[in-house]
Amino acid sequence: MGKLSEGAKEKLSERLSLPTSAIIGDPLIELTGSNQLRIENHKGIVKYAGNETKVNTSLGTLLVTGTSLVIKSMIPEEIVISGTIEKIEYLK
Amino acid sequence: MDNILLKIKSYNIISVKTREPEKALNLINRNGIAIWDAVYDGNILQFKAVNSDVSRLNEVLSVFTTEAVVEKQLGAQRALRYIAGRKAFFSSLAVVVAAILFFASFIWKIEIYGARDVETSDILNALYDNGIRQSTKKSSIDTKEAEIVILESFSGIADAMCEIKGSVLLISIVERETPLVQFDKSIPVDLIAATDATVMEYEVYNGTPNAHVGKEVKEGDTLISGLVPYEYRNEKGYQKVHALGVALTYEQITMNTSITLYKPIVGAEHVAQKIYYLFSREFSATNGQIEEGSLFLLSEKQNVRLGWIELPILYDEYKWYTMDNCMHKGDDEIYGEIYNAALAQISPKQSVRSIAYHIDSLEGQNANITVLIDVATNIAIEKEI
Repeated sequence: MGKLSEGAKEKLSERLSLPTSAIIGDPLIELTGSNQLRIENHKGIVKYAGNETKVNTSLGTLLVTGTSLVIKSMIPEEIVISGTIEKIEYLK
Repeated sequence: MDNILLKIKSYNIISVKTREPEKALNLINRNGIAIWDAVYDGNILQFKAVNSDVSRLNEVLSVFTTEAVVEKQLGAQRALRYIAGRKAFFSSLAVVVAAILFFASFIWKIEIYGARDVETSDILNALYDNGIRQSTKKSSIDTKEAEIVILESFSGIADAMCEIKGSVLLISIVERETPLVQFDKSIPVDLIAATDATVMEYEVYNGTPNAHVGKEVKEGDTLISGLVPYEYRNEKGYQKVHALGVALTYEQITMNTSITLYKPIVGAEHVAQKIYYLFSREFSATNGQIEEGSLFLLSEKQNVRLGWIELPILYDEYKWYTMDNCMHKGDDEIYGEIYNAALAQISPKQSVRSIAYHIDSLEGQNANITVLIDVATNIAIEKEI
């Protein structure tokens, strides 16, 4: 994928009727209630603390604030953060 | 994460002392190592990872001054190590479980339900004779065959159902209704003849006589009528009562039996032979040499005892006595044994009037005897009016 331009990736995803995020590597963020956050296509952790966690994505740093934040699981494709999630925002 | 898979694979709780948890997590992540339940307390990063990733984790985290410390190992591998460390206990446990499974494949108890007139001991004896006893392997017991054995052995049993539940053989029998119906004393009845016979003894306790000693009666003839005539102020009629009385006929029964003419002297020495019935096999044990021509006393179907516990293992015990240790039985004793054998031959409606016997032949210490039993049979049965 790395050799295709962003525009080509978008066109490809349109042609294949696939979600754009899956092709171009945009983060896919799924919040379950306010207790679990799943981030696909992340690019690593910038900061990890119990009340604040920053995750690097292709769109910038995603700031997750809350209490008792725990990295429930972490594999190259996704991170699952659990705890009491209060706010999610992009820092641009 | 598949928790079950992880538990089978076995996983570790790992602690890393670091001021840069993000860096540690990203390094782990870049190396494709899966982790979960990561917690950072400001000094130590603790997380879980599968067993097989521990050495790689140490390599990855070698950039930090401290290496990954395995705090605790969990899952199936740890459980296996735990078991390996307690070999004696788990071996004993395995032996106990194996023993339970082994013993569960045998019948340890036979329960009989529904017996009224038929003795349960007689049913057990019939089953024993056909190889069905305690400690018989369940798989070798054909319940249908057991039912047939019972039905064929007892004329008084109308139906039998056998079922194996756990280690118990349950036998439910249904006895045939007695053909001689006994009515309540408040119900008016006649006494009629159950068979063609000559009345030899006759007594009336209640009702109107309709027979006499020496009278030949046919089946169904009224012996004692329940209709009692009365006359009150020139009015005649019959009062219905419950007839009571006895009408006996005499008959002779011939039977053959064999008895031992000798008995051991009290306290005499003997050789004990025990035959154990275990796991569908017989095991014999004797405490000496059995001499030819010895006399034995048999105690059948005893339970093996372990202290005060009665085990469901049966054995027959033979006590063998040489003839030097035996004496001839007295005439009264021989007569008593023949009388008991005769009683076993007659029905509840019959009673023994006299017994005559003669010895046909002798075989060693045994005598083959022909017995002539004079019996009185009650031929009266009730019939509701």
